[in-house]
Amino acid sequence: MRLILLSLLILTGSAYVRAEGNGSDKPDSIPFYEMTLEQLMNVSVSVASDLPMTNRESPGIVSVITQEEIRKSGAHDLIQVLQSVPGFDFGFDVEGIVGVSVRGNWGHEGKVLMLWDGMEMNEDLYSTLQFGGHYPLGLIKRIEIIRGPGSAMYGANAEYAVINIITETSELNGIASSVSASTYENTLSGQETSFAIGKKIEDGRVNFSASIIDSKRSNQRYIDNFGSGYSMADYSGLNSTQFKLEYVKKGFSLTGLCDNYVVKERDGYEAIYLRSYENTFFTSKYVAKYDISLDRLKITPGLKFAYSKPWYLDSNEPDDNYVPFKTSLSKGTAFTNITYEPNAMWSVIAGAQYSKLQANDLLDSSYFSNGKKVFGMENANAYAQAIYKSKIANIIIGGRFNHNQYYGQKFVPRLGLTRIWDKFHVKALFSQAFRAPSVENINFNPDIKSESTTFVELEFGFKVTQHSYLTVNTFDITTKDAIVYYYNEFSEDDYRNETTTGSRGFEVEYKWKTKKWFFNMNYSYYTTAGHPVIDAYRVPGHSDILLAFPNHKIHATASYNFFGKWSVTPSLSYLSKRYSVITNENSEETLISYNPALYLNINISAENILAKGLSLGLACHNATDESAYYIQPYANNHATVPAGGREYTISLHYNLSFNK
Amino acid sequence: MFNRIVIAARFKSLIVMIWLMATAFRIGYTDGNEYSIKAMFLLNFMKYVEWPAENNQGTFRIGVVGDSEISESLLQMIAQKQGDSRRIEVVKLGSGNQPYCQMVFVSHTENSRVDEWIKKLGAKGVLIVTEDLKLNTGSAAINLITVDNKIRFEINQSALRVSNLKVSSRLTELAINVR
Repeated sequence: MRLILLSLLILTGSAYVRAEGNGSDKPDSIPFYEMTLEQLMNVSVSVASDLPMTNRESPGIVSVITQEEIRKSGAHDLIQVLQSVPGFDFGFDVEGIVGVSVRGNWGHEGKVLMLWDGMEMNEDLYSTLQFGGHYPLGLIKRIEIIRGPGSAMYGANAEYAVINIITETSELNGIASSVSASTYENTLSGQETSFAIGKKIEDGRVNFSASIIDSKRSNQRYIDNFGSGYSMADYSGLNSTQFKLEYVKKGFSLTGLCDNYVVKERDGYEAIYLRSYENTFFTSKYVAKYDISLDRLKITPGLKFAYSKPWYLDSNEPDDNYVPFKTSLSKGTAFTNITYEPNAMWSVIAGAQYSKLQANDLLDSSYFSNGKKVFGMENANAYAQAIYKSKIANIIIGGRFNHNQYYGQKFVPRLGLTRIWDKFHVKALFSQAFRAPSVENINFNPDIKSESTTFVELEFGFKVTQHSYLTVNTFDITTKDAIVYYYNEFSEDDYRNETTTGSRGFEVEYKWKTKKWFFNMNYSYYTTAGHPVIDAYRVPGHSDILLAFPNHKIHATASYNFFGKWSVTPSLSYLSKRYSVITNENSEETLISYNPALYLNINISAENILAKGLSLGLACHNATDESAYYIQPYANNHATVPAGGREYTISLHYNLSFNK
Repeated sequence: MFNRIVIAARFKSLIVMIWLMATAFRIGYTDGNEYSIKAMFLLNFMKYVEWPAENNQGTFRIGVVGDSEISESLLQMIAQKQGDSRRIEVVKLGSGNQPYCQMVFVSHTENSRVDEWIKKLGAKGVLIVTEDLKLNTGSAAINLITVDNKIRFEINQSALRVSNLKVSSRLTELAINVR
């Protein structure tokens, strides 16, 4: 049998070799770059590759997720999309909020920056991002993720990573609409409706987008560390409403964004509340800027204004341990960005900005640490990055100088070398990042200091075939004076600077794409080896891992297109063992471990079905109904929150282009 | 006995997997890839198209619209042709203000919006080249198409006139469709 099999392999293999030889009309003796048109017209072509090959030279470890990949994955929430990114994971904070981690490090408070069409989405009170039923996936055209520091270019909040989201509206001349509905096996889990319209006008464009999301964090039962619980199918609602309007004319642009996110929660900090409350995050942002183009120089001055009420909780219920929280923030920013390309060898980006933030305590009986109802903070910074394209390598040198009203001056450098040799590329990067404490960091601990992070990264890439690409990168992250949140003995929020935390590890990513197939696979690994572990993140008895996040993570997606319109896309995610800690009333710790888990998702989608521009998706998420969790990544006695079980989603997307 | 059967089955599966992977790699690995050839077509067009004198000085810029491997292929070809006297730059074009490019390649991924791009980028002295586009629905000057696994091109004379460009008779002879 083995002989027959081997014979078949040899026969089919040699048949393939013959077919390839006969099919090629390429005159092998002449390289392409010396061929005339007549000779080129006799060359047979292989199938074109649609593999995205950008970012090989970019000075960062970058992941790009396209709209096609999002839709074919069947994901209906940004958490599901970002979980496919190497090194990214999610943990639980408090009061119903889920945050992001990068390479094992909790990045929730001011360490990961999200840009939504260039607008910063981190709130200004604690600098957090809130995930789950928040950001409309139906509007997203592309996500660019820098899996590393961006402080030198993007400022504070970009300490560990930058998530740059570009929506449909950026170049829309038509209508883009999307509807999705999901259900767990025992209750509806969510629905999203999004709509965008954009119209090209002479020398510009105008566009508007709107979205409404109504979903649930989970359908499981949450039980706190004291044994009390409730059904999350009833008390974990996530509601988001977003509007955006943009007007662009002859280099001038005006953009306004309103985002309102409401989290229904009963989990609180430790023991559950008697009833559910609404934790609201409202923000409205406006940006006006003007592009002045002078040959190879572009100068963009502009103004930004933001008004927000993050973490806003209000209730008059007398018989609960719930504490209301009402603070509003106003922030004004003046900025100038410059891009300059004097010649093909040099490109320079630079800029400066000044911002003034004012927080107002809206509760009757509380004050900021300065004894007043108002707290202000001024910040000024300037940045520059130059890329020199030498024959040996591209050399990147840059940095940011920051002045904070309370923390003085700080400079963070950024150095890099990138080089492409035909099918290979290499990047060597050194960066520092920093974060000045946020308003509430200072409010709870006036003695808090800035934290700073040093990154060393190395990436190798190899174009395996015309259709496939392999990258391997290593990293080392060290954060000094880490600002760590904890819940103090008086049951109040508090912050302190810990000594040093960090991780090191490596990530492998393989992408293969043709017109009918694509296959993406990545593996990420981190360890705390070589870094001290601070008490808040320590896993008792395990020195190489941090709370909540697995050392090993694998994600694989395969997609096959058939009959031209239809695609089937299964994906698998593997997470290795994770840990959480429970602390009892006598301060005794109990370690809880979560077994390695494998999650399977399947999506079937069709494009241009029934009408041009109409596409359909049918997805099953967590098809094996594997237990999934959001674990608190710092030892503060919030019980682990179960994520949803098996979930079915139907989605419809419709795009219509205007003729003019 | 059971173990032997399982091991034998796994061994055969392993052989099949290795062969499939090796075959997949070989299928993709060929120098005759579409965008290397298309890149050379663009570079050849420089020889057969006459730009107005005021647009034909200094660096020659080729703009690329949309996600396309042609940018990388062009850069590789230009590097290999570095003995040429004229400097050639490849520029990725997107939203916002664009630098002047003598030639603009619009990827097939942008075919649904090709007229918008032509309106935005097409000017006197700009050669617009598209791919896989039906010329009777577009107004690009040159359209690259694949016929029987070979690259061919169509020429739109009226678009060339609008752009104030002249093409040699040799180019029109090689085109499979001239209108």
